[in-house]
Amino acid sequence: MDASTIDELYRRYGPVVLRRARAILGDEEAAQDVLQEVFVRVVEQRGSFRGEASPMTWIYRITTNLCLNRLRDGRRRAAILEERAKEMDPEVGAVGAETGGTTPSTAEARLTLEAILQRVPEELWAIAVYYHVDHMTHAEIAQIMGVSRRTIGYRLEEFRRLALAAAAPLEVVR
Amino acid sequence: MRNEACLSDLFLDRWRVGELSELEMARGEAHVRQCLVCARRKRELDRQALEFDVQLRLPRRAPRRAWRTALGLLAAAAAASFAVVLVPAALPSPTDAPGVRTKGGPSFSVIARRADGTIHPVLPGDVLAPGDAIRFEVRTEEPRIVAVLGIDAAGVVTPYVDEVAIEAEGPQLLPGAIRLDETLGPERIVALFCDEPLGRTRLLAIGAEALRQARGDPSRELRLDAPGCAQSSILIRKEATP
Repeated sequence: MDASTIDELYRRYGPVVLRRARAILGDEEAAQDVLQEVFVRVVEQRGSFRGEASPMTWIYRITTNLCLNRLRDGRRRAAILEERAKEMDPEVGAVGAETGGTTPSTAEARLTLEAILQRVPEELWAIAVYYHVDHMTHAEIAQIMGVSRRTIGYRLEEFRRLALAAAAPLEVVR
Repeated sequence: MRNEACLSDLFLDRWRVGELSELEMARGEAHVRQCLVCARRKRELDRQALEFDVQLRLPRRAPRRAWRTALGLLAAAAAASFAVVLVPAALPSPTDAPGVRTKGGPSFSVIARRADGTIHPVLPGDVLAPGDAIRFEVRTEEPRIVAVLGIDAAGVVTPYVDEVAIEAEGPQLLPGAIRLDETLGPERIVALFCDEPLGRTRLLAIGAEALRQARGDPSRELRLDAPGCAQSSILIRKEATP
């Protein structure tokens, strides 16, 4: 893969990666990092990328995975920090438990996608992103995730239920 | 408000880069014609892609060629300001096969200068007015013969750019500018990228035949039967007061 090919792919798919990473992560710097990581993957896995019937779908999948990995890492880091904070001050630990380990400064921030994702099982994250961020249909999600449409329906319903439950108590904290 | 039939971002992104099948594209076109939400979202995504390209290009962009007025309609003094904001946008080619197209995959963009002097890249579906001036920028990975045709709602096929030889050296502004005439309604602007010149007479015949097959409506999917040529088109709409 020569430089001009990479340049062309970057121009073609870069805006999609950046837009979605911003939406999922809500952080410009992290989104830019994901943009770079995705294109490293494109170069590394050029064989499978070129072989895709829809390279855009491949790009979506890789972007989603990298973004969600970052959220998982963030969750682990938050858990470690919370654990350390508990050791220093037990009351801090109690607050952390109430808010699921996140400590956003405003009520609005608590209701961001990232905040909600942090409070529901990880196996629901990708489906939630595809549905709520990308407005994909059940059929499209089923195809990109390799599961049945019925499964998507069940999991989205589960996400909706959990997200509502996760978000509701946060609104009255203020 | 979005509904069940609305188009996902994935669909719109695949549309932008030319990954959709003819059937999917027809479905998309039919939907955005009657759904303001999806039409707006499509334009928004196209705009974001353009802005991304701008960010990549501006810092390292070489000075533009002068805006040469083939029709004598733009003053040379205005060219400098044009050079600052000129932005090409890669458009999906309707005849390209689905998948990644890099080598030899041409891009075609239209830039408009409005009556008030503002200059902007033209996106599919943009509304322009009679008297607006347009010009064209192309990029190819291989040397090509490029021609640009305008096919308007009155059924007239106009050669906007006669066949010119283009080297593979990045984005290139085609010579000349076109002032849009008084014909209102949809107009499709088609760029052909050929290995060999076809000749003006044959180009006009091919354009006329494509329009006939589209039942005289340039807003319908319209393909020029030009074997060996890649093609890319953009549909604009001309209105008296955009």
